[in-house]
Amino acid sequence: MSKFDYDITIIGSGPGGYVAAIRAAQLNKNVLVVEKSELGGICLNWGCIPTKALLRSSEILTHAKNGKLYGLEGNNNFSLEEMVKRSRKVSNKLSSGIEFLFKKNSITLKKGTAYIKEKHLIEITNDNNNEQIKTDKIIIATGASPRVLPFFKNLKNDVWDYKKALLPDSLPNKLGIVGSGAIGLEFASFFNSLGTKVEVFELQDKIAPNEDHDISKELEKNMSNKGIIFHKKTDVVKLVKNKEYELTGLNNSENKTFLFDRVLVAVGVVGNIENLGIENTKIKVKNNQIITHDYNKTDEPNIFAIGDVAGLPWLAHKASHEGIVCVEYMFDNKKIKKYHNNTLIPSCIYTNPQVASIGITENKAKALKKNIRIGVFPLSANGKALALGEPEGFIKTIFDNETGEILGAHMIGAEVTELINTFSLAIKLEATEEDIINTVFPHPTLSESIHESVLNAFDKAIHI
Amino acid sequence: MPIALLMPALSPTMTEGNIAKWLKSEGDNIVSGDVIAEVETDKATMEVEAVDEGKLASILYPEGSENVSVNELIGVISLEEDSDDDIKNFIKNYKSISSSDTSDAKGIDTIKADNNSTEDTIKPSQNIMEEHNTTDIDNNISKNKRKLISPLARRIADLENIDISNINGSGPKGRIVKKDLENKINNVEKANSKEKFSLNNEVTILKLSNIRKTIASRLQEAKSTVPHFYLKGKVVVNSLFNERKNINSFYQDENINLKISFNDFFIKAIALSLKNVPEMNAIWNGDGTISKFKEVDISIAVATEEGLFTPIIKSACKKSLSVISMEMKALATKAKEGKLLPEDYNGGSFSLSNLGMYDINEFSAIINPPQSGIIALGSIIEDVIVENKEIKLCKTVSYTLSVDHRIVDGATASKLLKYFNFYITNPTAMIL
Repeated sequence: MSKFDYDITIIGSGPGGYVAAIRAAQLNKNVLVVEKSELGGICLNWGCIPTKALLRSSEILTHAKNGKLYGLEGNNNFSLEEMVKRSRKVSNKLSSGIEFLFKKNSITLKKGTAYIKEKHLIEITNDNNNEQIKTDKIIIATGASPRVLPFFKNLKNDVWDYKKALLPDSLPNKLGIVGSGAIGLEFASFFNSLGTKVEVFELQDKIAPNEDHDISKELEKNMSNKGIIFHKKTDVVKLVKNKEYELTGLNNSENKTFLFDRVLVAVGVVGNIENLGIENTKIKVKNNQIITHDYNKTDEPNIFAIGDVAGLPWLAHKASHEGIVCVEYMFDNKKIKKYHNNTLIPSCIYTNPQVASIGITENKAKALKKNIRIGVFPLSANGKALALGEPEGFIKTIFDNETGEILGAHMIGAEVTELINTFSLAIKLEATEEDIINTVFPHPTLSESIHESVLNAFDKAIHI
Repeated sequence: MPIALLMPALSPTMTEGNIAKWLKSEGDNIVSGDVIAEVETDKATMEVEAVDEGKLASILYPEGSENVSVNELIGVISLEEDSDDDIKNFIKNYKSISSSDTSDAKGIDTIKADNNSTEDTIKPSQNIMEEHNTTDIDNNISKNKRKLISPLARRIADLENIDISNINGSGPKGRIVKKDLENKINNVEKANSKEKFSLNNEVTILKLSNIRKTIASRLQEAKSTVPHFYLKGKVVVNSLFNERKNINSFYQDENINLKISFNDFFIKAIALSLKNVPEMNAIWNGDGTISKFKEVDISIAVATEEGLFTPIIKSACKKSLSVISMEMKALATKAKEGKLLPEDYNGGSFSLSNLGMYDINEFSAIINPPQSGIIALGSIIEDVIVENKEIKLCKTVSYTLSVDHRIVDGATASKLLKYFNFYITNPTAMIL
């Protein structure tokens, strides 16, 4: 009889936690997952999935509004309530899918909050129960919560975060969005296409600050054309609620006040490390993130941390990848190699048009003093994009001039979030430009633009 | 039924070899005893002789092929009844065969196919390693064993001139990825940056021969793992000098084609000393034991253009100076021609290295593991010696004894030098 009740206990069932749990179960471990809320965490319930469901509604609405271009007739009525209902349905379906997967893999699920009393002892508390379990290993996958900044601290129950924005009781007339990261821009895109007047405030001198500067510029141009107003280099210093929200932005040492009936703040997230019992372990924390080392080890040898709580990038697929890596490190040590640990994470923004990228930006490559070659191919020269009626955007590729290493790929346009994988795989397999150039891309597809962009980097593009 | 020609294991440490030369071409008839090819091993270039008769039907690794694994199929000998298709099928169906007995160093291993076998696979009497499937063999048959490497890593290796044959990839299934080359690139960059300090200094990068690689890794290991200590001394060689002169002029007068060198005396003297100090006629086994030997086998360092070789004078204390002299001459010639056989250099408990002919006064040598020690001898010089309160001009030789401290301590090693001094100063005692 083992001295532990479980081989591994995973705190949190988001895309990091539930994937780690299934992988551990596949390796014949006795697995416990503790979840205080919905199975699937933010991603499934309040993040990636429901936003994509809503954005799909707005996308279809946009197509319908443009119906005449495609030869269609009809009215463009919509119901926000039905859109939200549909998005909840999608989330619920996936959440119950995880319940099924847990059963299939004999994973024990306990609802409640977990508190690490000692490094092998966890206390689980819920409304009607309080129990202690002994566990060999622990993964902290508690995710993150929206960051609260001083300017709206007093209004934090009124101001929208992504969760509230997913359940709007009515369509705002004028929506102010603070932050132009993926969350801010996706909601800007959604409410804009439903007819809301949207203004976005960004501290930096470009929107989507993590993206390549050409992508930011193109995205800003496209979204501005749809009526979204951007206030860059603007620090939101004050937010007051009277009849309307009065938002004061500081730009060029000049204060300016704007009026909105709704304000969404999306200025990043902070790791959920409170009330976890971290102080009872050797785990080190910095800026509300758990400090992790190779294989997502913390400073307490039997405890690992993955996903948002372990720091940037705040992406579901990064959490899942880390979950698998650390579980295989724990239980399948023979197979695991550093190689596993060393993977670039792609990032996607589901605005209209979409943005997707992997690797480093042009500016970053220059800062690193790399000798680079750049290829750009506009989707306006791609047959499929024209047939879709979505010729906006381009694909930009950055190569090491000498070795042909793919340093970065940056895309903006229709369905580019489905195209970025070509580069994820090519980079992982360490392909060079030659391998991509010698690959046959099917016609007519958007993916041909990948080919052309790479060809262009080496002065061989056919269609421009 | 065709006969397989395999890369032979020519020494216990040999895991792969280079095909230096094919002395027979495809289509040539072969009789038992014919030299078919020359194989360069980690120690020497050796001839491989045929033990079977037939026709050399196919050569799978051309001249110059490097790092061919032991027991890899390198050629096929056909018999009269074999058709071209038989040969093709034989090669196609050939499974990589590895013999667990690698001590067989007598020419090319040959494996005959089972005459009664109707199956596709050929079942030789040796063990079959199920390492490769037939497709692998198909892919590999005409080139070196395939090395998995990413396209990017391949290009970087080409650009930076990195030898990938000894790199263990960290990617899936041992695939070499960019990260695996990073250390090497840094080294190359360091080398390049050095180059910049001395403008106009052209750098040529040389690939190591197998022999150089072996010397490098063995001496690296010896110097970093064997706890050396050193004893230095000087011995007067006036009588030895005169004795040698007398002996050699006697040979000359008698028209005997023989010339005893100082080195021959030193070999004999150290051999007799080892006989007297059996604690040092020993090797370190590395498993908590030491092996002591009855016979005194001494390795002698021989410099060649290819690198350093250490052929052995066996039972040196039993042999006369003239026999030692003749054997040494033969071994040195063989070493210079790269024709030493494993039995010429395997074994030995002690080494002797002499740089006297290069006008070196004294030096310290690295032990040749697992041996107990090595004596390093300098030139014979005119030296001022104080003897019985008198200053004398003498001929002397300085020496340094390097000893593996795990095997013996300083006092025992000093005893060895005491005997060595005695034999050198009293050369006639060597005939006792």
